[in-house]
Amino acid sequence: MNTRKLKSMEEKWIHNLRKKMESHNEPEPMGLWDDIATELNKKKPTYLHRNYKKIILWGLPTSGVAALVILFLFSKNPVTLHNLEELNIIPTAINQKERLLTKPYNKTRGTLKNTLAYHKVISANKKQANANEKSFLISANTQSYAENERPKSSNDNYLQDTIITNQTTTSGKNKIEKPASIDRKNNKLKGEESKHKSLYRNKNTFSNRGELVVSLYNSTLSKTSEENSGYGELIQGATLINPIRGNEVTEFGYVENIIFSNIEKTSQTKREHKQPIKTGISIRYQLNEKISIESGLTYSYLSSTLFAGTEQSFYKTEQSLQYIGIPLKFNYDIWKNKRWNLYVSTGSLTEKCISGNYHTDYVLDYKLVAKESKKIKEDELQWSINGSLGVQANLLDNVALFAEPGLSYYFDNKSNIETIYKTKPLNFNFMVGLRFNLN
Amino acid sequence: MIYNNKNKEFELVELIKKNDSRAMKELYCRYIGYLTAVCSRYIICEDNLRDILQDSFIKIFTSIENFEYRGAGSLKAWMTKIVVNEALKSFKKDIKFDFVQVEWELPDVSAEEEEPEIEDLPPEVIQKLIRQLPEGYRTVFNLYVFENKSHKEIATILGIKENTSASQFHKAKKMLAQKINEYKKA
Repeated sequence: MNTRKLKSMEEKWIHNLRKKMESHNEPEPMGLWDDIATELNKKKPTYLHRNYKKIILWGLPTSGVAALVILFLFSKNPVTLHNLEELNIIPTAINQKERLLTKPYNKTRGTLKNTLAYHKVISANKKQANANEKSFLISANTQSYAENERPKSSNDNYLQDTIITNQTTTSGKNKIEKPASIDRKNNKLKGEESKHKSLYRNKNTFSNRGELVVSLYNSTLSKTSEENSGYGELIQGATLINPIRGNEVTEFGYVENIIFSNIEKTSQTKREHKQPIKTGISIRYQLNEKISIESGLTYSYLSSTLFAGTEQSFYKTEQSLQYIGIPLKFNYDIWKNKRWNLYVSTGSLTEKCISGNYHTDYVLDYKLVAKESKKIKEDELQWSINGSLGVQANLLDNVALFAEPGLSYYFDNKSNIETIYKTKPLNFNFMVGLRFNLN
Repeated sequence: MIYNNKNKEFELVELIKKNDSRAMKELYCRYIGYLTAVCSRYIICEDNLRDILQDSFIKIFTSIENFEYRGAGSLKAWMTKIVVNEALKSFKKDIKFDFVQVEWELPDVSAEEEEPEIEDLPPEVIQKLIRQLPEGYRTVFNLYVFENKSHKEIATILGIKENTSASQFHKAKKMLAQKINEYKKA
């Protein structure tokens, strides 16, 4: 911008003075370059520090979860296959072929097959057992029940009871023993059974048909940031407001002032949409062995910042939005055993913005000249669909830990608020949570 | 390829964007003299001057990725702006504007003095005399004369009234003219 013409009124000597000093140089401060070079070298690691911070932030929870899982794998948990073999096998005079089934197989579909397969594995491992040594298997269920609920001395009695039952009804044949017989034989047992119903669930799957599972989870999506030149805003028409009167320095509005102040510089707009924080609770109903349907409530917190201008004069906006949503999902189990579940999940989510804040700071020539806060709202609903792959680790009988990496696609709801969903509709998300079997 | 100053500067900028340290040093060497002159018109204290130049160059090198070369002189202008901003940043809040008389004093049209003759005066002397001006006068004078800012802009930058800027400049001119004449007599 050549302002020399504008200064036609100025005195000639000033004009000459300017010309004279145009290429005037002064001696540099001694050793300045070395100091600059040193400082530049120091600056490089800071970028790495930022990354380290990120790694730690991500690494800790993930490693925490991983540690939990590993701990679980190596722990002495009565539910493991190994331990089952080491269970107290009391040699009796029972035909090896006989098997005792204490689970209410008639309650669950497909359980029988699982249980038998299970037993077969055990017996195969016991091949080296003495021919005389007869053994029968007690499921972990009953074992733990026996251990926990009954005094140790009566353990044998209990077993004897069941053995007797077996012998009286069958011989030399694989016969599935109904739990009913146990009940008849031992009234006490029946009473306690109903009290501890959960122990008689099919332990081979986390959730059985007709059961309800509650999940608590946290999901993280990715963030975005972008930069372009000029002046932008997060809500169309929000920042470039009408001139504000009453400021004695100028008759223009704050933004106009900022633009004016930056007139010879390149101004930038930097937008950053932070990772949305999404958490929720859901309830899942197991339709059959493999499929379940799920719904619940989600809460999301979206935060974005926008910077426009230069370091000297700029406005900076912080936008925060809160959404409540209702998901609807279908889950399909691909593979599962006592400990692990692998499944796929697909569904949709409908969210509504319940609260929004738009806060802007205006800085002119390094001085904060104004602050503005307003509540914003979004009338439109936010729809999205998602699909994910899930891995679930069953920690206890009715508690499981799961992780679901997946993709979600957010449909443009055509509102005038810019969110991460609009700038990045297809998102990778990672959901982690706990499941509780209510039954 | 025509090897001229403009291309060379453009290439220099491109090299610096790629973190070429030799290019950075070359840029420094090319412009440090001029930038020291610019800065020392604002900053009198030697230590501050050094710090501000250092900060300015760090800023130049770290934000050069946002710089778009727009022809001869654009790089110099950009660097100068950074230096001036850094200088102002350091003392803007505490500038003392000398108001010997009432604030909004109209430009003195009456007692017209002869415009000083500066033709034969070496630049070093003018630099020295400018540095002798009090802080408020000096800053406004520099911004007006060397940075080509209007009084309106100066008012915004320094957070003062436009009238104040005009009067400070007027007083600065008077004082500088006085100093020049005194110097010549000596």
